[in-house]
Amino acid sequence: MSSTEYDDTKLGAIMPRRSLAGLSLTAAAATLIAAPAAAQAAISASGRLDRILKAGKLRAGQYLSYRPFGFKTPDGKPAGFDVDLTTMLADDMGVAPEFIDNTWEGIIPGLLADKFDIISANLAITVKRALVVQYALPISFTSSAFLVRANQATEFTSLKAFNHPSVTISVLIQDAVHHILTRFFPKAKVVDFNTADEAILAMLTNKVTCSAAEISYLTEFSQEHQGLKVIPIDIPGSSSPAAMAMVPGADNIHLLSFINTWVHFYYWTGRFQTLWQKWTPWSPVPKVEKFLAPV
Amino acid sequence: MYHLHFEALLPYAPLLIRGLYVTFYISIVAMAVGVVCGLLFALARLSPLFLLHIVARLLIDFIRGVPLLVLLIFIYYGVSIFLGINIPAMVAAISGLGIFYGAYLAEIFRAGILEVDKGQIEAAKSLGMGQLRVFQRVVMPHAFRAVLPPVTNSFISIFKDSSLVSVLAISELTRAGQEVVIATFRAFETYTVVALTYYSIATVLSFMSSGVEKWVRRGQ
Repeated sequence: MSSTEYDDTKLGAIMPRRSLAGLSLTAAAATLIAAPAAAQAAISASGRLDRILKAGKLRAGQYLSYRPFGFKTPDGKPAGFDVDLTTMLADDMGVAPEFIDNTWEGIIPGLLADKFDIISANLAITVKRALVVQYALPISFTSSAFLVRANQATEFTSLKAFNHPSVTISVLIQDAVHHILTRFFPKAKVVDFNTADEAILAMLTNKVTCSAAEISYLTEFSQEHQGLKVIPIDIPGSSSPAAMAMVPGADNIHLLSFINTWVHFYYWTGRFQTLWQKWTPWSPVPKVEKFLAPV
Repeated sequence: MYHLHFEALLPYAPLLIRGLYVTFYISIVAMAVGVVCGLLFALARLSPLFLLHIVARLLIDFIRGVPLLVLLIFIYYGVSIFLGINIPAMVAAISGLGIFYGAYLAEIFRAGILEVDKGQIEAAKSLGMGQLRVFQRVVMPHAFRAVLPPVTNSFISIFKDSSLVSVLAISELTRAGQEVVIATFRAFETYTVVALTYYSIATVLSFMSSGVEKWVRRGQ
């Protein structure tokens, strides 16, 4: 992908080559052109960002059932990558974060039902989701992997072995990894489960051949239990960025542009590296360029 | 070979205890809502006003025809979007459980009220008591003793059905168990503890319910 038409010398290696700000500005401009009445409303003082600042509270939809991104400590407090990220954002806004837990298939309906202002739960960017929510710039990167028993690992010497009709794969319902499975492993059968740990339990109890999920979650799981092997899905094009999401519309124009600005600072000030190293220390920090052309 | 490690759950006991507290809270408040709803539905069904009777009948039929899980999700997401307001998870849970059990209790209350001996009511009326007085002094005390056993059984049911509100991400006992599994990756041990907790409390409630039944039957 040629990047000679963009100037990246000023900000060095951490600034994405292709300007993501340019993309978001184009999207915002398109929204304004398409809805002039909405644009008029947006210019007025009210909007979700103003309401959040006035209320002093940012309601963030979370999925606290997925280590290391979201989970609860023994005394019931939310913790994880997403919780830290949301706290940083809320601190910079000068408001208090409020974490609202969800089921995975309920998180987008919850956003649309105004149960919270944003989703900051490591929501992977997919085209289908983009039809109903508005994504901000990506704040992280999700790669997927298979979890198999160690004694089965010999049957799966290459990823191609998973693309077979005899293979059943258990997945969390509505997880973005479905797109990867449909695209690269179409012959395998996919079985949905309500929670990620139920999906893994199904594999542990031999109901399915393997389980597919985000690689950090599976890595943590395999560290807790013996006899499991994590096989990364490192096919080019099989990973995707994750971003915060909000309801599309004029009400959120300022909130979206604010969060996009904040995400730039999140990279420039090294917060992404800090969070990544804190929560997934076994994994090298991905280069931010990956967010443009996910690999 | 799965190695059992119950001790891995110990640091997370506070999560489970808080979950149990939330379960009790939801069960008790939903029961109260259910009793009130049931009473209102029952009185509406017994009402001479045709419109009230029909509306109550239709509502009860609808609520009894929808599974509790679907009703909870419908209230939390569907009604929320339709009315344009955010119904908090706890409100959706308690109202869903309460209305669901209210529809069932309505039939129990209706039967209890109708069972009261007609002779008693006629005697009260012949003494000059008004309609309301008759209801207050004669019907309610009899009906109360008649419905108490099924109502206490309903409470045990609500206590167990409260596990369904975990689908609204409320941290009652079942979801607290799920959270402990997420944190410890120990599914078998956690779900065993959760199941035993439900079982032991349901058994205690069952004993109390039999005690209530004996008390109701005393002197009969």
